[in-house]
Amino acid sequence: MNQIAPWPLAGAAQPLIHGRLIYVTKCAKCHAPEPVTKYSYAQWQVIMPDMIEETKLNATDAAAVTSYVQSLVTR
Amino acid sequence: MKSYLPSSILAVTIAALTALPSTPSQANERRFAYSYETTTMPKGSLEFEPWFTYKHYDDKDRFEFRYELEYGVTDNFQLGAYLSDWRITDLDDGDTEAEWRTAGMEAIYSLSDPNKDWLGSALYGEVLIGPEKFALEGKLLLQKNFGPLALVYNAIVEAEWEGSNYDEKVGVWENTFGVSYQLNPKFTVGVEALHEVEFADWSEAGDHVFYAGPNLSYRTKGFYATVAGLVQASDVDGEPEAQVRLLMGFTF
Repeated sequence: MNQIAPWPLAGAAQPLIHGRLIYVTKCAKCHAPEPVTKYSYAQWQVIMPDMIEETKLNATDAAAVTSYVQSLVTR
Repeated sequence: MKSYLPSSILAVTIAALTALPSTPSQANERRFAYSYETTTMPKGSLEFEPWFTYKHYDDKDRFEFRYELEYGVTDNFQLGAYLSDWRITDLDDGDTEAEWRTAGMEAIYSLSDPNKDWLGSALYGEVLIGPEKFALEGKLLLQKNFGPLALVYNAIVEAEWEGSNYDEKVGVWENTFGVSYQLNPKFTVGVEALHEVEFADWSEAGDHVFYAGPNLSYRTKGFYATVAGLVQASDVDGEPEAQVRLLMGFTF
C-alpha cells in the first residue's frame, strides 16, 4: 500500500496523515486505490472534485485528501 | 447432464457495458455478483440496485428479479430494503409460472478495512418475508485487498420457513469465494465460486453443490454493473446447472 499511497514524510502536518487515511479507506470504497503518482497534478484537478462528490466527503476530509494528493504530485 | 451456457446473455451484457460512456468517477460498486465485500456505502449515499438472475435447470429455466434500495447510515453501517423478489419459471412442458416471493431488509456493519487493516471484515444480517417464505440470514464477510487485487470470502447461514403455513423448515450453509483484479478504475475481472448445502428440517444434510465461473464489473459516475456466470461443478439433480447474475447500481 505504501507504493500506492506513500506515507507523508516524518513530521508532516496532521492533515496530510489524515488525508492518506481518507485516500486508502473512503476513496477505496468504490475502487481499488490507484497509485497517487499515476496521475498528474492537472489530472487530479479534474478527478478530485468528482471523487469528493461520489464519496460524500465532508469539507475537512476533502481538504485533507486534496492536500495529501497535491503533496505527492508535481505541478 | 445437458450442457448449457447462456453465452448470448453474457455477450449482450458485455457489449452494453463497453458501449457506456467513459467518465473519470465511479459509483459505489460491487465487484462480485455472489459475494459481498466488507466495505459499506459512504454515509448519506443512496443506491437503487436491481438484480437479475437466470438459472438453467435440467427441466426448467428460471428468471429471478430483485429490487433493492441501499442507504449509507454511517461510513461503516448501511441498511438495505428488498422491495420485491419475484420470479418467472418456464417449465419444459410449456407452462410458465410467475410468483412474487418476498420483501425484506438487510444491514451490513463494517468492522475493519480491507486496505488499511490486516483483514477486512463485516457482519451482514437479512430478514425476508413473503406469503410462503420467511427467512433469516447471517453472513460473515472477509476481504483482503492487495492493490488492484481483491479476495473475498463469505460464510453464510440461513434459516428458512417455507410453505403456506411456514411449516417446512430448511437450513442452508453457504460459502462463497471471489477473486477480482482491477484492470483500471472502470473495469474489474475475476472469478467466483459458490458452495451450498441444505439441511431439511435443519438436521438432514443434503448434497453439496459447487459452482464456479467468471465475473466482470464496469463502473462509471453514479452507475455500476456486474455480471457473473457460474456453472455447477458438482452433479446434483434439482439444482441449477448454470446461472448468470447481473447486478446494477444507480447511486444518488
